[in-house]
Amino acid sequence: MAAPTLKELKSFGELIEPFQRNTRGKTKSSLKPAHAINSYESGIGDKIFDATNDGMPHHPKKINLVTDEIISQIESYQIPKNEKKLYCFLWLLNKDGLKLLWENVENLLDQEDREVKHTNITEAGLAFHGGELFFTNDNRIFVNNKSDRYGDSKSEHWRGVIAYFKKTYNKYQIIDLKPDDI
Amino acid sequence: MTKSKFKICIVDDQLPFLKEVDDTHLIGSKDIQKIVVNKGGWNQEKDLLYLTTLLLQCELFKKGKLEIKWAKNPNFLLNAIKNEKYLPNLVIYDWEYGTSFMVPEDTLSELIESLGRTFFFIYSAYAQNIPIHLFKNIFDNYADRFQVLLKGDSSYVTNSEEIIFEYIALRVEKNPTIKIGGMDVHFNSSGFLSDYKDILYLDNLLGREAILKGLMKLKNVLSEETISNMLDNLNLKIYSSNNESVITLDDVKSNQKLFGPLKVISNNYAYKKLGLKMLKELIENGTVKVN
Repeated sequence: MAAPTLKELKSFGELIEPFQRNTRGKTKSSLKPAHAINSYESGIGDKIFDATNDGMPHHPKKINLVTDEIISQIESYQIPKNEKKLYCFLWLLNKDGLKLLWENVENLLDQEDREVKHTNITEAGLAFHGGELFFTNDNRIFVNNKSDRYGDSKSEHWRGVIAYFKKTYNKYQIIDLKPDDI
Repeated sequence: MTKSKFKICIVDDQLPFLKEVDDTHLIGSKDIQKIVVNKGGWNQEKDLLYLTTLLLQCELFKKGKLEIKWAKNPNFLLNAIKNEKYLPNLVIYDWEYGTSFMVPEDTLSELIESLGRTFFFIYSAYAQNIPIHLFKNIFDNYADRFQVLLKGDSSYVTNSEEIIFEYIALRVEKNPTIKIGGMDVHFNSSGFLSDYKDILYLDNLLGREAILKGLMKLKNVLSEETISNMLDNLNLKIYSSNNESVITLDDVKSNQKLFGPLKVISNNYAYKKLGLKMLKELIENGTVKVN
C-alpha cells in the first residue's frame, strides 16, 4: 500500500501541530519531553507500526480483539482506562500514511502515568488527524477521532480519513465511531 | 522511644573525591556534608549537588527525620544490605558508572529484589538514552517501585531534584514544606492533594506559569482550597450523568444518548469527586467514568 496520493492528502485538510485544534486550552508548550520521543532506547520507536504496508501491527504479538459488547462498553466508558488500553491502538495520519501504536506500551519516561500519546508517534511533529482504533475477530476495525493532540477533525476532512482507512485496510470493514457533534 | 528515620541512599559515582573521606564503603551524612562544603569537583554535577544540598539543608534532616548515605558503587550498598547494616527506604540510583559500563540493570535488579518495599528513582543524566527495553521485562514485576528521572529535568514546575525531595517529604510528614520552582511551599495534604504526583498533574492542567503565579498570590500554600482557586481559571463547565457515574465537558446529543440526561455540577464538587489525575483525564478525553 502506497503513501496517500495528492488527492487524498488534499482531502485530509491541513497538517497541524499538536493541540492546534484543541479547544481546552492545551498548546504545544504543554507537551512534556516524555511525550515527544520515540527512540529505540525508550522502548517506543520499534513498536510503531507503519500501516501503509497493510496488515496487523507487529506489537503486541497477540492482538486483543474486541467484540461488539466490548466496544460498546468502551464507548460508554464502562471499561476502566487501564483495561481499554489493552485493546486500543493510537492511530496517526501524516503525509506518509497511517501509523499505529498500541496504547498499552509503557512509556517509562512519563513521570505521571507512564503513558504513550499520539505525539510519541510524531515526535511532536505535524500530522493531519489522530484517534483510537480497535480490531475485531471478524475483520472489522472500529475507528474514532479521540486525540486531544490531533483530534477534533472537521467532518469534511474526516470523510477523507475514513476513505483512506478503507483503502489501507481493504479486507476489513471500517466502522466509524466519531459522533457528528464532537 | 524515637521513631525510626527515613533512610535514603544515593548511589552515584560522581560524588567528588575528598582525601579525608573513605569512599570505599557507604559514606555517612557528616562526610557527605564535608564534600558539599568543599565544593570542588561538582562542576559537571550541579544538579546532583543541588539535590544533595536540598536534602542536607532541609528541616526534615535537621529535625533528625532523615538518614542519608552515599554509595559510590552499587556494590557497596548491596554489601550493606546483605549484612543488614543499611536498609534504605529510598534509593536514588544513577545509571552510569565511570568509563567501564558495568551492567546497571543487573545491579539494579539485584538491589530491587534485595529490598522488598524500597522505592527507586533511576536518576540519570542520560535518562532518555537508557535502553529501557533491555530491562523492561525484568522490571515489570517491580513497576510500581521505580521511576526514571532525568538529572536537572525542569519540564515540570517542580524539577527532578524537587520531585525526589517531594517524594521524601511526603513519606515523612503529612503537611511538609516542599520546593516548587525553587520556592518554599507549604503542602497541605487532604482530599485530592496527597501525593507528589498531584503536583505533576496540576502542572499538566495549568502549566508552570499559572502555578507559580497562583502560589505567589496564595501565600505559597498548596491546599485543596488554593488549587481549586487556580483551577477555576480554566473556566470549565462540567456536566455529569444523573447518577454521577460519568463526568463530561461535552453536553452534546451523542453523550446524552450514551449516558442519559446531563446536568451541570459545580467545579469544586467535580474537583473533589475526580481528583487531579482524573481531572487531567477529563481535559484530555472530554469524558471520564467515575468509580
